[in-house]
Amino acid sequence: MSAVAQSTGSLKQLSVDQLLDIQVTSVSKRSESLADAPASIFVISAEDIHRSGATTLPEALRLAPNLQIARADSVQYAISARGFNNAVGNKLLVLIDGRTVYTPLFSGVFWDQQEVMLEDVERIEVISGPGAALWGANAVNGVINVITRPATETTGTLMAARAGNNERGGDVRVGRVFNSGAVRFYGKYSQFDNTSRADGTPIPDTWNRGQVGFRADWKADADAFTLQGDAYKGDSEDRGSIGAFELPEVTVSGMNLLGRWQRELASGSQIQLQAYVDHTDRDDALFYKPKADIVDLDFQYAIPGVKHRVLWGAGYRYAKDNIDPGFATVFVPSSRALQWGNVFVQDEIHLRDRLDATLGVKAERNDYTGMEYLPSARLAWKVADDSLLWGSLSRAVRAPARYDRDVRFPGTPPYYVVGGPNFQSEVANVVELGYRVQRPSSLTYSVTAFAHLWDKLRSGTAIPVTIENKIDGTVAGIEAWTSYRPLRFWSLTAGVTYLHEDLKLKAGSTDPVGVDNATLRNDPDYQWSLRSSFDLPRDFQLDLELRRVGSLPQPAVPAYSELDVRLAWLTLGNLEISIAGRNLLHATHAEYGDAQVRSEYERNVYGQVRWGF
Amino acid sequence: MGVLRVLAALVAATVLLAGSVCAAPSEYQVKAVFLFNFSRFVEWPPSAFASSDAPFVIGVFGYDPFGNQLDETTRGETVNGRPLLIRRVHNVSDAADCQILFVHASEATRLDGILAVLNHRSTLTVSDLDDAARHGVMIALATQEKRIRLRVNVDSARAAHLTISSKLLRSAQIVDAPVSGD
Repeated sequence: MSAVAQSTGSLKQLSVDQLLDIQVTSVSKRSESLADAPASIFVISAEDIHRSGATTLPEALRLAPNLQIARADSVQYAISARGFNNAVGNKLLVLIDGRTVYTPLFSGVFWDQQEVMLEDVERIEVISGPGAALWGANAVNGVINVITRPATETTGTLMAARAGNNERGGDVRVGRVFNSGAVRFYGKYSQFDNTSRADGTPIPDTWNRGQVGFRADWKADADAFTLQGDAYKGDSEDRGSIGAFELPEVTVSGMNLLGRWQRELASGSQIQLQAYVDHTDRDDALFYKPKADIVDLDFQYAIPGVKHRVLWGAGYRYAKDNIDPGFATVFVPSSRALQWGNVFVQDEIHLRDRLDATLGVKAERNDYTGMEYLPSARLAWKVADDSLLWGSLSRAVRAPARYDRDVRFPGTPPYYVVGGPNFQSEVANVVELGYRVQRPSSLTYSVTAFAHLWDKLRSGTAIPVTIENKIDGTVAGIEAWTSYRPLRFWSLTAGVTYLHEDLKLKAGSTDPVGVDNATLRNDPDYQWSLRSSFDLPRDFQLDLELRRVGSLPQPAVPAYSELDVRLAWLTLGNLEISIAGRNLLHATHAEYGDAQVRSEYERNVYGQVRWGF
Repeated sequence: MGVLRVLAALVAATVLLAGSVCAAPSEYQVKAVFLFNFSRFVEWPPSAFASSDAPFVIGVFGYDPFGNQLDETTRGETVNGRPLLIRRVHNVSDAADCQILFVHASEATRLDGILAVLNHRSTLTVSDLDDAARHGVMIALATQEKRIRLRVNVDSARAAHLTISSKLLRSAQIVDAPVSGD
């Protein structure tokens, strides 16, 4: 995209046709209406991702001030919102173009298996707080929606290659128009070097990953169609052995295919039907070897109106897995087929001028606990045209997964930990209050205070541990962010979160570890970030991001500050040359895990060349 | 903290260097220019003004996405000798005093109410809700593949005694839809 200087005065000299031919920087309609939504939403734009220099999805997610992100090794991450951040984090729902990417194994995400062509991402919507009334169980602490651009907006060719001291990779995308739509194909390959412990001992987490995929979008009268799919393969290096137990490389692979049909009816109502299949395969001799096949169907019907805007729908999900044991865990039974079904309805009610209410409820059935009801009520008051005061009350649950009911630790008897046959859903009753001001050309800010009243959190009995639900308590905090453009070529974004966790074992619990349990919570009290973006003369861009994350209690990780810097130069219209440095402040730093065994991350400097035509 | 000092110097240097900087125009910078251009490409009947020396008013209803860009675009401009004013409109009842009324997409739920009150008065209604023209708004500023598209409901404009120049219509998509207020 060539940036042409356009003052308002020179724009006024243009003819209508010339004006119509100008490319504008724009927020999409949907994200604008989301900006009006009574929820704690941060939207990561394509430009933010590009300018951050992030090369993976988890690194791009660091742009959202309402997420907590801790890197666990070269490609593994713990990602959460509002606490409970651990490597089996299970209270956040993650969707890529409408496809849920959590594994039915533990209701969390294998981040080393999730890759997207970041250049083709339109935006990432990050909602902290419950979205269960729309998205169902597991959308308890937040929802991440990764949305890629329709193929009709990626009709060119793009090539990128990068190399640095810790990682190397390349991306290719080719887009083509056909008579009623467009299609794109992409391929992506990345290599990540291994990390080391603090004492310098190498950790065998070298990682190679390749992914190919496509997306087609086309229209026929009132119908819009999308068909997309991805296939990937990744592996680590050989990890030696534990005694006689061999630990070969971790290998992962998977493929998915998704179709979506949307129709606008003469009445203005909209129908959407989406279906996908998703196959995942992970072979990790240390932990487990899960294979899963998922079929998912989703139907939505939206009825517009002035007084009421109604959205209702239904969904069905089927997952069949087979989990071969690893050194650390075995699942009994090893294979299981699970089903989920849901119906939901949401009504946005225009109560009076400037006052809107949103009432919604989802009823979702799962094989473990039966029917779960997930209601939500939200009230939004437009205090002024650019400011919104909102509040919400919701009930959300994290439904049991295989990891709660069927797990055994270690992989061979005698077992120290056994899944709980009576493990129930973890329940959160959530209250939120937020205030947001949006003045698009100058200052924008958002402040949200929240309290999640938790009941039936995951705990264990005395050894041999049986998993049960005997922790409750409150997680409360504040999330705030602001963006400001002091000068036309300079913008600033700052974010801060503060978290207070007050959890306790319930009466009768014999849990030997208590609430400072690495698989439950290990969260910083605070984190903040400051980002500065400059548009420099001669098509240079300079971006700086400074972040600080508070210390983690158990396992203890010290607080850290880190700095990312990226300098890019756009030349010859469509060739971009950039150099990015990440984690520049320290030779190494740690973000997660026990001091004896955890990964330390080095300064990472890489150069990238990107060419689009 | 040597690194921080170097950074501070770097930041200071870039602020000093970056005198004139290029950037693609923002969506609302271009839309502001369109609103201004409509005052040139549309003819209003005399009945559209309270008096012969009344100003020409562009109203922005509710949420204002322009910041100061609309004010900057129209500063010092006149329309057929009338001073051009920008007014932020918060009540439907004030909408009828505008010659052009812009309604942002996020105010979609209030659109029907606004059109009902205007009911054939000579106010040019403009919205960037994609299908606004189908709902009876006279001009929709839709965004498609990063470019702005004009969709005009000619019947709605005609019912309000507004004449849209062929210079504008030539580049617009004409939308057949019910006239507002019918």
